[in-house]
Amino acid sequence: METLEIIRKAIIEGQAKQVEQEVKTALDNGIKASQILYEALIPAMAEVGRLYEEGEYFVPEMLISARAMKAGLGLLKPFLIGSDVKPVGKVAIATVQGDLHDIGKNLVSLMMEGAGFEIVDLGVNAEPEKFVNAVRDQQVNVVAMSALLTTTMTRMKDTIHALQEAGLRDKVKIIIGGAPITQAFADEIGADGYASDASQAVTLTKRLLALS
Amino acid sequence: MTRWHEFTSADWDRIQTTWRAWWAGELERPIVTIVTRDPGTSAPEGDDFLTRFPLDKPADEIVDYFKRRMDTLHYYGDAYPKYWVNFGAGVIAAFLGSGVEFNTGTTWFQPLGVNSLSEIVPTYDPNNVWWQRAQAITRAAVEYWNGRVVVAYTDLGGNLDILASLRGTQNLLFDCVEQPDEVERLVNEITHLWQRYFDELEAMIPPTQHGRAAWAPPWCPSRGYMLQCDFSYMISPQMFERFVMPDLIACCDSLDYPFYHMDGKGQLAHLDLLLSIEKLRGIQWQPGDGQPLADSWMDVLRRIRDAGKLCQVYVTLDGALKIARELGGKGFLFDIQDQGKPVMREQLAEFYEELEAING
Repeated sequence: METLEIIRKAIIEGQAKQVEQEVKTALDNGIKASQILYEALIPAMAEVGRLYEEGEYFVPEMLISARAMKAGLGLLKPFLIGSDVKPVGKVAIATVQGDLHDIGKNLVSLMMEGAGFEIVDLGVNAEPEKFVNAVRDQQVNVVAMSALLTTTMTRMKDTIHALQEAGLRDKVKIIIGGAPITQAFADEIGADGYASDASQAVTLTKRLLALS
Repeated sequence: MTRWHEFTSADWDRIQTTWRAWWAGELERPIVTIVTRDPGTSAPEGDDFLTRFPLDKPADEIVDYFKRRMDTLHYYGDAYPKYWVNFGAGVIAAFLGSGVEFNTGTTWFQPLGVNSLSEIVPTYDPNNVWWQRAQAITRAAVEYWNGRVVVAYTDLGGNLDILASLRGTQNLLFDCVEQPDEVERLVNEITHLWQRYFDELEAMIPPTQHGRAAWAPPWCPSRGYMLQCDFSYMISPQMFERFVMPDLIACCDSLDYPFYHMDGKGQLAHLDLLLSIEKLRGIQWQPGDGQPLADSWMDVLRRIRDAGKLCQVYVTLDGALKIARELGGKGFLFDIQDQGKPVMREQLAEFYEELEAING
């Protein structure tokens, strides 16, 4: 089996050690880091997203695959820096102020990374100023907010308001997600979109940035 | 309309007779519980959590605070006065060593910070500060109300949820794939401890108390509990069968009135397995925040009813009538939550009239 296909399969199966080994082999054999990224890592995570959406994979399987992808990506990064391969976008992501849940946020980060985005992880319980600073200082072009509680989802609106006040709202696309979130809520607070799961978040972001 | 101190022997007889008939499948109408609060006395967010009080605050002062809160409550229909010893969902994690934090209006249990599952050794510690506190509050509440209010068991939690608190949810998700045998072992150990904590709390309830309750609305004549596994929202039915089912079955075997709290559409994948548990008496269906209310899930409610299980939902008055019209009310428990609006007496009269017409 071709090396790239082996890497792709190992990611889908969540075999982190095998991914590392095969990525090393591929690099040793002169395969470009960009080719490994675009022809193995990114398609593998797209397949993982599809399997999740179709109910074949659940959160544990998705996490294991994402970790395997990260193992490979870690080896590629030194080769990608300085090359003409740039992230397709830069996403500042966090769970909003008052909310300490992080699984959904982490999954979205991993899937985004697997789709070629650079992630600025602002953690949990992130106040609006954190997002504002990230947009201003780190030139992110997407803000992704997560909330699991009805009591904290209102903080999303505060963050959007803070970005407006700072004159930064037009510089970013804002996506939101989490168990209590709906498209209607996204429309109500002026977010650019809502995604129901991590895979959808990637699709939505690509659409908003006209990447797909 | 009755306040807790207005409940007479006749009221308690009515509660016992009605609920016993419901559990036995002999009540032709649904159970309806409505608890309202005096206007202008709404509780602040997170006010019910005992974790927000300093640990050196005497238990009887805390119970007195909640007594004053309960003075503002009115019980309609089949509702009964209850004080729930609320430390947050899955307090066994704290009994087993998790750090406890009251933050953002709720209780958070901090992971133990271990590097692997093998470092977790769930052990009963009679001197654990939170276990001591849970017993002290339960004891003080039992003593204070002296059988006139149902003192409800604290929220012990689901076994896999407790392990998730100890290990950290994301770590446990990895463990479920990479160390399934260890997960199985630990869940089994936690189940044994769960049963011990339950039995010790149960032993504190005096025979003079009118029945039993947990955090959820069902009233039980004797040992009853609302079992749960919120973690299962994220896992496959195969994992649910391996990690959750044996412990649910064991808990059901040790209870007289076990119910299951099914929270969120992610858990629907496990409904058939849940319905296959012979001793499980019923399912509480909560579609989850952001989802349509329970009366929009007739197919789910029908599956529960057709499997011969009781079913509890949180609904509006209109929602309860909608379910009763479509499925009949028998076997249902409608806990009326009217979107934060007070339920008006006139509305109730109309509601009961229509419900009676539906159920004959």
